[in-house]
Amino acid sequence: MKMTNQVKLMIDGIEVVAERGKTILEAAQWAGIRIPTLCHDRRLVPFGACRLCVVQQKGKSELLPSCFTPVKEGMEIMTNSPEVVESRRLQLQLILLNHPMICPRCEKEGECALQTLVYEYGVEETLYPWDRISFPVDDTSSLLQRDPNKCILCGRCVRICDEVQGIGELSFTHRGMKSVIDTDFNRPIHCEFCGQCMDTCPVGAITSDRFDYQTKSWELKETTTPCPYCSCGCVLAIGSKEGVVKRVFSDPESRPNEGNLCVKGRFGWDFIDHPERIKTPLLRVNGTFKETSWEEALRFVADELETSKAQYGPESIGGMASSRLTNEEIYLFQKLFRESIGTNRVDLDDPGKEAAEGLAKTLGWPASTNSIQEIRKADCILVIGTDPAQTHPIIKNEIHLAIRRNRAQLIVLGSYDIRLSGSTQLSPLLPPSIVLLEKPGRVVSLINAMTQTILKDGLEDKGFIKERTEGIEELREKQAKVQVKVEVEVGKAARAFAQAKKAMILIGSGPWGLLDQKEIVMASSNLCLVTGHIGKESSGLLLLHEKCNSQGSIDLGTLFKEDPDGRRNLLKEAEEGKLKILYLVGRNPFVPSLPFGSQALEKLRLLIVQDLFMTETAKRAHVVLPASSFVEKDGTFTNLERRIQKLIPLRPPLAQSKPDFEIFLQLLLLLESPLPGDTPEAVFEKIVSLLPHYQGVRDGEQWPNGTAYLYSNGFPVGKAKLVPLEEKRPQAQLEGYPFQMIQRPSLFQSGFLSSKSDALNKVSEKPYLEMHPDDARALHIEEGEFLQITSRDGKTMRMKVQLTSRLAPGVITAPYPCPITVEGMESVKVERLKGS
Amino acid sequence: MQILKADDLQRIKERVDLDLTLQKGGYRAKINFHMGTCGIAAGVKKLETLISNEIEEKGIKDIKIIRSGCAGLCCREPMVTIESHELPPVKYCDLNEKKIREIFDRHILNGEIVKPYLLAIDEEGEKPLPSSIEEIPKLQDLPFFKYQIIWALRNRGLIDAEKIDEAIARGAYFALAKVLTSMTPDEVIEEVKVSGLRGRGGAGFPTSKKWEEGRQYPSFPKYVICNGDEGDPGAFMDRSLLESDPHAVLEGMIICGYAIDSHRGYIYVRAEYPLAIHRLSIAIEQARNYGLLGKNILGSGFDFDVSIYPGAGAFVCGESTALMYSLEGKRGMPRIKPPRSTEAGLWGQPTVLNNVETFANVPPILLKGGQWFASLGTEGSKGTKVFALTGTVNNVGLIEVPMGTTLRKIVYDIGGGIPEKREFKAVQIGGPSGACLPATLLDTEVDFDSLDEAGAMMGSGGLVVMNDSTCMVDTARFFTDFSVDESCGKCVPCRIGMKVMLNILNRITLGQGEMEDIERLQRLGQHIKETSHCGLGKTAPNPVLSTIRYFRNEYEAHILEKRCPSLVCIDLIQFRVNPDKCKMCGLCKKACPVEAITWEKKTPATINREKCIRCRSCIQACKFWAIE
Repeated sequence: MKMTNQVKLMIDGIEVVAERGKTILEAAQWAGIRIPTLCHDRRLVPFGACRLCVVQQKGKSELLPSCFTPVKEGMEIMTNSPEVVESRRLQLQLILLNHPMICPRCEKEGECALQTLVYEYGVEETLYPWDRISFPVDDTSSLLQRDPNKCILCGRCVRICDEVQGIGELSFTHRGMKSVIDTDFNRPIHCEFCGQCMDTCPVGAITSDRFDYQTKSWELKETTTPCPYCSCGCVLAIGSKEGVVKRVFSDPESRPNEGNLCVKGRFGWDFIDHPERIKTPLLRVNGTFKETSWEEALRFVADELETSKAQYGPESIGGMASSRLTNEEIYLFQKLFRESIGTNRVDLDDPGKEAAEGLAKTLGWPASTNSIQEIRKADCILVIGTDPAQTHPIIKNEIHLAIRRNRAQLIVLGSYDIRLSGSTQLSPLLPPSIVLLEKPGRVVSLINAMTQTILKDGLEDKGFIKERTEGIEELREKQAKVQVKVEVEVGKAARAFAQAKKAMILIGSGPWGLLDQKEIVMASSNLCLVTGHIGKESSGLLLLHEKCNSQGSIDLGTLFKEDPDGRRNLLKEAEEGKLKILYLVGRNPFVPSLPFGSQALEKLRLLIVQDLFMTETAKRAHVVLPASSFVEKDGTFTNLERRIQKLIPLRPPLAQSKPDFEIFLQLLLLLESPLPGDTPEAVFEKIVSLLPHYQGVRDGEQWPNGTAYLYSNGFPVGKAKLVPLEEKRPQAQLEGYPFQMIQRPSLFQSGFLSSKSDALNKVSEKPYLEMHPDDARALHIEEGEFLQITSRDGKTMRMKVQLTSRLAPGVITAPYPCPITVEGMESVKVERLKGS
Repeated sequence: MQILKADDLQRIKERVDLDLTLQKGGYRAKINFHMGTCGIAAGVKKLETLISNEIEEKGIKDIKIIRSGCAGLCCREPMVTIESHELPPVKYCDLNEKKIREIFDRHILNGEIVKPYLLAIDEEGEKPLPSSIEEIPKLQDLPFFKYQIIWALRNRGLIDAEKIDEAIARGAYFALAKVLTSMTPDEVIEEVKVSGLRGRGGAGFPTSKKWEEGRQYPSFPKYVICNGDEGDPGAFMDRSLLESDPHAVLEGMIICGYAIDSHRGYIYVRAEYPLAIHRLSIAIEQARNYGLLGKNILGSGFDFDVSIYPGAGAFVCGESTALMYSLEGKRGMPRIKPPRSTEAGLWGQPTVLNNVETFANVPPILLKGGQWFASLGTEGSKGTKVFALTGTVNNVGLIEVPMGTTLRKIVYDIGGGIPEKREFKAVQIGGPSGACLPATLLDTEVDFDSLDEAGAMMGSGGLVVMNDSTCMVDTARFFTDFSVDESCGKCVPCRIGMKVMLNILNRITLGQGEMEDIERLQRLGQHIKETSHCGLGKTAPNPVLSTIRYFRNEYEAHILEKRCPSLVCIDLIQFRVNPDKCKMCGLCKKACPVEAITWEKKTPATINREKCIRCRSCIQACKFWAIE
């Protein structure tokens, strides 16, 4: 008889077929049978602490904890026998003994798992002798408060922090009845503040002062909508009451984040109600702003656009939009500029575009090949030029899961090491991280060196190369041996990558991405192709874009005729006097500390700013149009893994603000242009008709056709292209400017929105520079000293320095946003400040 | 450093034997100081220094001093064994400086037995006993030694644990040599299977089965762990074994490593056992120097090495999965099974974990055959078992008896019965996981299955004898208190349920109990057994449940009559002299530290309850149960 992978069993008289190795609980849940649990969370390894999930086998007296007992053929399980019910009732009685009965003033009331079960099982007071044991409450931490008295020690917080987040901020301390979940030495919480512990807590032991005493759970209206920050596209379950957002949780069933959120998703939403939100359109009259009506403001803008177009030609008008706009808005924006006005001076805030185009050239699609959740199943992960823990925390979780559960090999390649590489020290059996550090600008060489080693040592996937790629000969020949300092490590990394069953490359993009992004991505594509790590689950490349709709912006950008002049720098063109009108949507380039300022502004006839806030740029505008936030509008985002996600508005626009969609629509009307549709849905239909790969994709699915990983059936370009690459520009070491400064992403601050979040500001760390100890020693610089950094064009900044060997020597990192490193990297000199 | 081959062991044995044999031109006498923790606590170190200095001062060269481990009879420490040309080994006990000086002068220097300090003479030597001393007791006739068969403790009190040569001379590593040169791993496991050896750590899981499982999973590396986290109150088997014969354990571990294809072993020992750790470290170092640990052991191509990991003192770390977490540097907390440790243990790799005593049993099994081992014991439990015999019994010490020996034999023959004319009341077996068995069960044979039937548990081997002045409710309370403190806190029934049981016991001993409490205890106890996660929780109610089962009347006396029959629970004692029982001896008055007792000759004593601090000194002093 063939050994099948299926097990047949009876649960409460219902026949259930389950996969071998599944637990009784999983089988029951699959069959729709509810078994009560307190310590279970499907994201975590079963723990078996609450003992409420006990079930009984027919004819046996033994009670089996269903959360970790595997199914067996022919089992007859009773989930509600009298013994089971009695045991659960007693268990609940025991838990209640030391649980404070302050439900009416507990913020968990109404959704507390313990409360629900106590009610369900009709648990009554017991006659057991008991003196309550109480613990001090921690209300000293920001954002998260802990009341160990309410804690039932299910360990979900401890486990999610350790297993999923890889942080381990909380742990069990003390023994027996004195057991308490605590930080090290009971200090205030100081971690990523992702709030996962609070989210998973079944009772009210971990709560947030952001929600305390605001409202009761049953009064909340829940809206699920994608997160407005990074490009992961986590699904937020926003609880609001009468249009006021109260909190954000997430559903463990949601993709791609499986209910996991980072600090920005969980707490960073409060910018939407920031008092500095712009409430009405503003027109500058005689140097000062005057509140005005939408009609007047838009009429003014439309007239100006028409006048300028007539007088100076359409190219005198430029538009810059943020990739935080929805797909529909980006479409209308382009419609407005490229068609209605007829200018090519359009900037869609898509620094990842070149990278994506690189992939389109070698593989076919301008996008990540695989999905976020596939990372956890990879056994080798190459992270290039980014720190996902800061930029894409959910991806950091995935990498951590791969390391923890899959013993994945982590390779870090770039100018600085990331903290994640330390998580391989958890066990002596985890392969130690391989860290390839070089000065900025050397990434392509490092990747090429890996590819070369693979080809030289015969580790390539010959069959794959022959059948599915072209250009191998040229690659072998032209890509001459590259010289890198870290040759031994490169060899190790190359072998690990080539020999892995499933390997993935994660490439940073956006302001903290590296130079030569297109080349980096194409070199990575070569690496995947020669090793055959593509077209399979958990094998391929992910581009970690900066903003929530970066991918959408790239996708929508392909809809219009390509600009013959290539990529433009509108700010420079403004400086050169080529622009009369500049229309900025969600962009803030004229910050005093940044280099473009007065010159460009003097040359412009009109600056239009459409934004949520009075930014530095908006303050210098002639017209300010108040836009709506992500909870106030319809539309779709496309995340970095090609997932198209619908925004659900939970309230009408704040004050007189309007969704960008509405504003563009009104302008198109005023300019008497044909409308592609007058609702986001209609415009999306239009987009779908133009972008074939957006067709047939339902909300929350990935394009094309809900495909999790691309290229399983070949490449749209026929055979995938292997392209020999070189570094774009040789490193210019400037005399007197020996250091290269790059931006270091920060978990808590990622742009203007985050800077307007009170919650994020509370937990943000003070900015500091990072420098290699060897460099510091040479300059007699000590930890914590204030340094002055000067760039070639004389810009300076002062900041404290921390010394770390997680950095290539010769490199200095500054926190994002850094006023000096505008294009990702800058040669600088360093001076000590006297008396510091 | 000398890397040994298999044949070298015999050569070392012969050399050491020759060296230690007393002969003309060689040593005149050997003085063996038993320097286990028990002996050291009793002061043997001072005596050893005294004699060493003496020998040095006098320039004596032909007297050999051996510093060995505990000889078993811990209550009679300090103890020395002296062997000389003229006499077979003689054991002296209860020594002090004056006595050892006298023994030195008379026995060592003059070859005369010092009878007053004598325990017994060991006639197991080749030398005939001189006719003149035939009336003195022979070691083999003493009941304490007579009924013991020392297999696991085979080298107790005989070798210097810090000298590997002495261990080799007593046969250490010969089994390893045999295994590595002539047996396949499967044959090793088969031999262990034939022996019927079951884990000595408490639950009695068949050792061969564990090894088979560990061998079968094709995931590498694999680990061998020796569990020396002995934490039961009253148990000291592992400590004593590690102190006196560490090589027995190391050899067992290496053989296990060979059987399951593991190359790495860890010994998890309580940090509270510094001497064991010290001697173990020396043993490991010496074994490495001989190539008995490390690469290419005995030239066989097999590699194995061992490290010591001192535990930080949590009782729960004796639970195998918690121990592994602790070894990984995490909080000691039992994890869910499956998977079993043999599939995914330390760092998720196949791991075989056995108790100290289990490993010590392995070498003789391989050397003499599984059949030999299986020749002793009962149907389901083969071989011998080491027990730490303590409590109110005359002979307190470490004993090893064949499986199936009755409790009666252990308590009355080996243990020499109950001192001070007290009555036997119960024997607590298996520590906080075990039970209190009454006199009616004294004929229970100690083996895994019979004890289980009696509601007790072998545990790791602590045997605490209790006399009639022990209150069983208080005893249950003591062990429950222990379990409450040592619960890891993970699962609800053990963490909270045990605390409720303790609270109920507390109120019973305070005289505030109600009859329903007995039922509550049973109900909760049953619940905790059924739903606790690990072995600890599942057995923690045993002391309570067994005392209710066998001593229910004591619970009832506490609850109904508000009386503690054994006069232990002070809140239930009136501290009044019963004039009918008082023999007017005045012992109580002498014992009272606060002068609360008035007594004159030929009158019953009286207690001034205002002054009385309820310290129970008078109760312990009174032989006639006259204080109520």
